[in-house]
Formats: sequence, structure tokens, C-alpha cells
Amino acid sequence: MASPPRPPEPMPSAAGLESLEGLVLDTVISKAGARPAAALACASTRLRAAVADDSLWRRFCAEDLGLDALLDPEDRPLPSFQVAYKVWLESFGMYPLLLVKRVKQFWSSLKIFLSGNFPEALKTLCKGVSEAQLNSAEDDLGFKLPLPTRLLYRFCNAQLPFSEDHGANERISTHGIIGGYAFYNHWVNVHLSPLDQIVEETRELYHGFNEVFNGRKLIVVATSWFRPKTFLLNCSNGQLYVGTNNLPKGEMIPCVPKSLIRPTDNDMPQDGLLLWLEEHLRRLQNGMIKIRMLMTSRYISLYPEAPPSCTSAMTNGVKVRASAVFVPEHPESGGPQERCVYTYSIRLSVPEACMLGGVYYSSCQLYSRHWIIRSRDWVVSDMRGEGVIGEYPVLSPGQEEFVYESCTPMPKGPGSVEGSFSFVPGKLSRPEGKPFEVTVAPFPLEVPEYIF
Amino acid sequence: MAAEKGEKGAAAKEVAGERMVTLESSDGEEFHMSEAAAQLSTLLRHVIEGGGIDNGIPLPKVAARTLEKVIMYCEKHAKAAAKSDSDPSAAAGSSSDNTAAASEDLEKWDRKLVNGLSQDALFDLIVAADYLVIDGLLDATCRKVADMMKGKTPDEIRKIFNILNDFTKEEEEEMRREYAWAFDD
Repeated sequence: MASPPRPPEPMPSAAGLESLEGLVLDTVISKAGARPAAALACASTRLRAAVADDSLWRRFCAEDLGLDALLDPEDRPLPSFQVAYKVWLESFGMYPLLLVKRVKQFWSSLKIFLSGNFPEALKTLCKGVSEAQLNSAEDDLGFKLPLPTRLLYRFCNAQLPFSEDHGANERISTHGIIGGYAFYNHWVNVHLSPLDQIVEETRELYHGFNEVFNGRKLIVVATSWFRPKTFLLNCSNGQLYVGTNNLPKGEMIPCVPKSLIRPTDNDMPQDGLLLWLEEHLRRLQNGMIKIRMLMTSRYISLYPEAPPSCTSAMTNGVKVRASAVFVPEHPESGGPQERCVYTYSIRLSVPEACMLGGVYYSSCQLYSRHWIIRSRDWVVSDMRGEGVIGEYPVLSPGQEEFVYESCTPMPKGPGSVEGSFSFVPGKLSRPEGKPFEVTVAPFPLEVPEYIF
Repeated sequence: MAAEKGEKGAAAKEVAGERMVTLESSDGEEFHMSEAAAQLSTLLRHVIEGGGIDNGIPLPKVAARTLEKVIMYCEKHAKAAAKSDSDPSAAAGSSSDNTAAASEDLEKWDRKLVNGLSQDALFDLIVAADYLVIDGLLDATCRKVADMMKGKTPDEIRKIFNILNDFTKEEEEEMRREYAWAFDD
């Protein structure tokens, strides 16, 4: 049996909220927002009916959550936007909504990029974890994770972990979403670690180097397959660090500009991990870094492809593009002289034609190089050598770039590399003309604001 | 300035070079507004364009005190638009600071207008702005009502807007469960 209605209250005035015409009331409610709409719905039956207009909730979903499809957080279909808002709020309401929208947007954009450019890597991304799993991880670690990091892992539990299956490991070894570089025998490809692996690797680090790390609230969030390179998130101050060769002694370098880190901001907290990932995605999207081939596999290459870090010069139709990447983890870095190691990538090509003195040549071949390395404008190295990495590439018009990588140690501080290559038209075995010099425009070597 | 009934020609009389329109409120009072101001109302614009306003435009849905506010809004905004159109530096684009400051002043004026109204007057103004199709005024008035709702519980909303709670106890429980996400803190 229904309970009796409430005792009568004073009659509402003629022109009031409830007597507003439908579209006008919609306008008011949509300006007020989702929470006020909920309060209105609970105020009277007339207002409950007005709030039930799904176009209102469609708008709230889009504005507050960046949600424009009728899907729940696990991509299952939902019957209406009103239900969708409720479901998403129940799942993520413990976080500032602006941050939820931002993190959701990040993963969505990354997945779209990978889907179009590197689908193999997309396949390594795992389903997000639950609040319970995050709490359990925090219990295991003994300290709390920053809010942005929790939210990142709610949406996506990073990439597939190392497994016992070496074959499986090998297949995805170059699919790190952070990527890396390869020069001589120094191969690096950084993957984002799933939650379980974070806990496990953090434990190992603390166990192995207890005096250095004890009490510091650092977690291992990304690691390299092939050569070791470790990224650590400081859960106290929110900064992300990369370990140098001396990580066992606690030596690490910040990877994100300090001024941007605000782990405890009320409306829009941001920590090093979120900022780092967002910057990385921006560089992928704007083509600053690209996907390249390593043997027969594709990988995200960290060598910049655009100015100012990547320089370009054309001589007699031969184009040389050059850029460098800071290598914090290299064994030769550090030491008493505090050296920095950089890897650089040189790309050679003949986009249209090789022309010399009015004559067109169908090919040309490199036979020597001249490199000048400066540290703070002082020349620290001026050397000549034969070929490049033991090769003497032949270039023909319209062919793909010949690319090679090498490295150089440097004193601390900003520097640059420039130089030239000597080419002969035709081939070394059958030169068709006089040798000529091809310029390598100076390219910068410096520790960047964001380290990947 | 009395409108001369029965006179041939439009009731859009000229005053100091400006064409005026006569409006009649629901309670029989006559008002005058410049044609430029009247153009802010899509409804009035169509009526004026269609001709046949010799004896003024009757507005049976708008009371005098509300119409007064409507005219205040339209005249203010029409003047502001005329000023920025005739401003020679506006075209150059270099005076974006001026235009930003001017539009900020206008916003302040709008807020002052709506803040000074009783709730009844505010709702009457919303209805009038909707009927006359004056987008800016509808926007400003609706925003005011929306602001009044922010951060309020259902009880507080009922008190502010004088709303009758016609839910049964069960229905109230159900609503509380359904919208638990909105009230958890």
C-alpha cells in the first residue's frame, strides 16, 4: 500500500520554474549542469520528467566526460545518455571530472594513433584495472599512488608484461609505446609496465638496493626491453625520473619540466607520468617522432624528424637530415668527468637528382666523413674517417633514405655536431666525375626538457 | 510621445533621426523603442518587415513591467553594437583590448540587470525573451536561474523556487538511489 502524500505546502506562483516551457527549461538545466539536474529531478515529478530528456544528458556526457557514444567504461552498450552519465560517475566519480575527461581523451587519442600507425603496439595494451586492484597495489607498495597515475591505470593497464614465453616476448619486444633507439649493440625499447609488473619490479629494486631506495616512494613505471633503461615515478612529489647508468647508487634525471607538476591540485592534478605520456603522444601526432623499421619489426623511434632538433641540408641534390637523442642510461655516461652520451641518426638521400656542374648523375657513393663535435662552442672532436659505420652507401634518385645511427660521448652542457661527407658521382669502383663534399648542417646535442 | 491613431504611414515614427516602434503591453500600456533595438527580437523584426504596424504592435503576453526591462536590454545592446560598428579602430583589429573590455562591460550590465530582479520578475522576463526570441536576453536570464541551482540539494531547490514535493516516500527513496552518484561526497 502506498504511503500518503506529504502534507500540502504553499502553492507555487504562476510564473515559476515548473511552468517554464520545455525547451526553455532544457536551456536552464543544460546551463546548470549534471549535478543540479540531479537535484532538480529529486525535487518534484514535473522536474523529474523535464530532466529525463536524454538530449540534456547527451550534452553532459560530452562536456563533462568527453563521452559521445552510448558505451560504458568497458565498451558495453548502454540504453541512454542518462544511464551512461550515472554509470560513468559511479565508476569514476571519486576523481575530479576534468581529470577523468583528460585521461580518457589521452588513451582514446593514443589508441586512435596506434590503430592507424602501429596496430601491433595497440594489441599490447591491456584492459584497465579496478579501484580494488589499485588499492591492493598501494597496500603492497606501502604508499599511495598519485591520482593521475591511478586514473591512467583505471583506463588502461599499460602493456603486456614480460612472460616466461621467450617467443612471445620476442614478438612484442619492439612494440613499446614509448619506443627507443638502436645504435651498435645498444638497443633500447621502452614499454609502459602493467600494475603487477610495477609492484614486482619496484620490490626488486628496493630489495636489491635497499639503502638507496628505502622510504623514497618510487615506483618503476616503464622499462626497456634489450638494454636496461628504467623510468621511476616519485609518488611523493609526482616527478618522473630516468635512471642513469648509476641507478643502483640512486642517480636519476627528471624527465618532465618541474613547473608543470601539480600532483595535489584539486581540479586538475597532473603528475610526471601523465604529462610525459601526453607530450609523447603530441610528438607522435605532429610527426616529431615516427615509426621506423628495425630489421623486420616496426618500432617507435625517438630520433627527432623535424626542426629544430633535426637539421637538413642539400648539396648537389644530396640531402642529409640529422638529429640526436640523449642517452642517460649508457654505460659511458657519468663517470668522474660527468659525460653525457648522445645517439644520432643520419639520413642520406637523393630526392630528385644528383647534379654537379650541370651534369646529372644516376648515382653517387659515400667514401669518407668529417665530423666536428662542439661542446659549448669549443671543438672537442674533429675527426675524419672512412665510410659510415663501416659502410659506403650508394645513393640513387628517388630511393628511400639510407639511415644509420651512431653515438658520441660529450662533456656536460649543450653541444652540437656538424660535418660533411665526401661523395663520388657514380660508384667508387667506377667514378664518373670529381669527388664532392656534402654538408651536414649542425644539429644540437643537449639534455632536453622531456626525456623519453 | 503619443502615437497618432489612424494616421497613414507606419507607426515607425522618426525621433531625432531614429525610427521608433510602438509596443503595447498586455495591460494596455504603450512603450516606444528604437527600430534598431527592436531588431534584436526576431519576432519583432519579422513583424516590422511584414509591415502593418500602423497602430503599434500589441504584445498580449508581455506585461508592462517586463516589457520595460526588455526594452532596456534591447536599447543597451543595440547602442553597444552601433558603437562597435562605427568605431574605426575596430576594423583594424588592433583594438581587440577595447572590444574585449566593451563586451566585458556589457556582460556586467546584463548581470546587474538580472540580479536586480525578483524571482517572479526573472521568470516573466525569461518567458518574454523566449516569446520575443531575444537570444542574448534568454541566455542571460536562463544563466541566472541556472546559477541559482548550483550546489543545492533537492530540499534547497524546493525552498528557493517554491516547489511542491509531490513524490511519495517510496519514490523519494528511489530517486535518492538513482542519483546517489550526484550526492556522494
